[in-house]
Amino acid sequence: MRRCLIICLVSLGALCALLPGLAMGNVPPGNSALDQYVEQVPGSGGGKPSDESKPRSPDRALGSQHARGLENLGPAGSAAAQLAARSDPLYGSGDRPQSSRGGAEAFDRADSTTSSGALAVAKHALGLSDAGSGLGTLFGLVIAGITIFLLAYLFSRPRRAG
Amino acid sequence: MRPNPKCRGAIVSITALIILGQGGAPPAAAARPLVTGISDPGATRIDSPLVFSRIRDAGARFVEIPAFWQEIAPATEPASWSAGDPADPNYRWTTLDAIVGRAVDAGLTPMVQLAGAPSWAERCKFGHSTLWAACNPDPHAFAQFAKAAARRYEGSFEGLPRVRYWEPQNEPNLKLFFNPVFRHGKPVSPTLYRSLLNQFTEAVKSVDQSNRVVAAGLAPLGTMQPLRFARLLLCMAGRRHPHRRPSGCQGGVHFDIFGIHPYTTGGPTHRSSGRDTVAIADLPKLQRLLRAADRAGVIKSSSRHTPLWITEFAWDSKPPDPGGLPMRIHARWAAEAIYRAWRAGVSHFFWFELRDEARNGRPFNETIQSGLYLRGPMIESDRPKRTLEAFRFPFVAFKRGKGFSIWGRTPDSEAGSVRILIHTKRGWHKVDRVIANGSGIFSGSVGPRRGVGPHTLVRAVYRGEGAVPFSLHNVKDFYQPPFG
Repeated sequence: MRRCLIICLVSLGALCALLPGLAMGNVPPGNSALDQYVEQVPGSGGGKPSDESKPRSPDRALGSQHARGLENLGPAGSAAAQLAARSDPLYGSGDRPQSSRGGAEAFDRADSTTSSGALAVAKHALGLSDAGSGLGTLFGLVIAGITIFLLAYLFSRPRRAG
Repeated sequence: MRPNPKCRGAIVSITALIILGQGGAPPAAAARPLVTGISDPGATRIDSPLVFSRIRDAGARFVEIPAFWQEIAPATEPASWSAGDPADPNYRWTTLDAIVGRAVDAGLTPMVQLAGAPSWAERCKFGHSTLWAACNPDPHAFAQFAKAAARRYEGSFEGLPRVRYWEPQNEPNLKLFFNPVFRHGKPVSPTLYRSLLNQFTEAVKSVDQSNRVVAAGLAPLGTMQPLRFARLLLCMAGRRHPHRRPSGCQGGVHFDIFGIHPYTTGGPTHRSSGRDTVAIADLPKLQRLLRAADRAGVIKSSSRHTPLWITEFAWDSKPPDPGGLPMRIHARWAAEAIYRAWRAGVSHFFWFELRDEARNGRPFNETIQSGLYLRGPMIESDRPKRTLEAFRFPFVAFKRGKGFSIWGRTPDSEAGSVRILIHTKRGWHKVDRVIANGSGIFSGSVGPRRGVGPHTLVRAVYRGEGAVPFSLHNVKDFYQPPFG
């Protein structure tokens, strides 16, 4: 059982390490003036420059009922609502790309159709995004490979034990 | 035999349609030239004729030369001086005189970019101050400087050569170079730049009407995305169907050529994700805006269709940059970028730069290694990259059915016979011959041939000189920052 758990954890760890790495390509660290010439691989918030993006209102991000509930709790609640709105995955997504092809942009486009960055990655990984081929197929293969490996391992254990 | 009246009417109508159709159509694609140039602010300042002879040997006709206002003008504005007079003793032209002289001596056409601003001519302060940066420079003072420069290089001043092409500032859509971009959240840099541009053009043209102003030179992304900047500059609105705004630009926007730096984060067919960004594959978006502005009469240009020039473009190569493009792809994509630009209606294409930049301990992703030459300790010891030949003699070939199509430009941009060869097991052998036009452009399609497969190498040979072989196997687009 312990060995099985270790294998599961290692596989999951490898998957977690692979997903962002493959999706992002070799994104350089952003500390140079030359970064101004590199198309950003946007997070779930999109590709709009920070000085142009506006946060969503707490009402839109949380729903009016929840937002009002938080704001009724006083300044602390209001601050929490603002924070939630700022950290909303659609923050600054007003300038979504209209068309994209392959690679990093395919990742971006898959992302833009959902409200969750993780869901976008998973969707793209399974090749469900409408962005076409590219890395999605590879992710799908990686996930399928790991799943088959885990299932094969689990089913083979009782026989060896017997 | 005379045709009957109905038939005659039909013939007249068809003839009129043909004539009108011809008149309204753009010039035949194959007739358009493709002139190349080099932009290398560092190399052009090296006091060696080798720099410009190498630029010329790279097949380039143009060279971009930056002239820093802060360097040429006095540090503080004199109480009494003639800012529009090139002979004013407060100006220091020596360096620029020498650079322009060396460029013209090598047979190149200089395009001088007046960049930055001295602090006395700026109307705001910004955090970083470099020779390139300007913070809301006074348009009148800038126009006076431009007039002095245009007079100095009008061709009859103290034996100095003629400069016809002038650029006001660099990448004004980046806060790195032009400020302020926004004021109270509203974009202001396009309006400020328009005022600067109009006075600049008036000044330069007052010296010689045949002088040409290359405007904008916008970065592909930036603090303000280039299409947004261009729309605001030209008082236009609408992405898909650009049209003139009801107000603004009453006197028009005065320039002759629109410049763009369409660096891409991928290959030559990579479309950027931003709606208002312009990578090389997005040039049609910019052309659409320029054509609409032409039709609306906003651009006061010397030509009916304002030309679009690429005044900077490149990728870093590996070697030396580990994050750059492998040399084989670097050479292939350089040729393909030139072809794609030409297809998008670009007539002038500048490569950035001649030689790799010195690193001086900085990491590769902070330096530019896109040169046509690998940098040595001295310029004499620089080594040519494979891309140099692809830039000098751009040639591409793409699979079409069982044959392939070709496009290229001869190294000397002159007419002549070009042999098309394919590589098979028995080596190179000729499959066709095409004639390059007066601008050196040749194109065509080669029908099915024995030995042509999806991985066949094709090359063009002109007067004994071979272009870099181009594989029919396409290199798919991938994520590639332009500077590694």
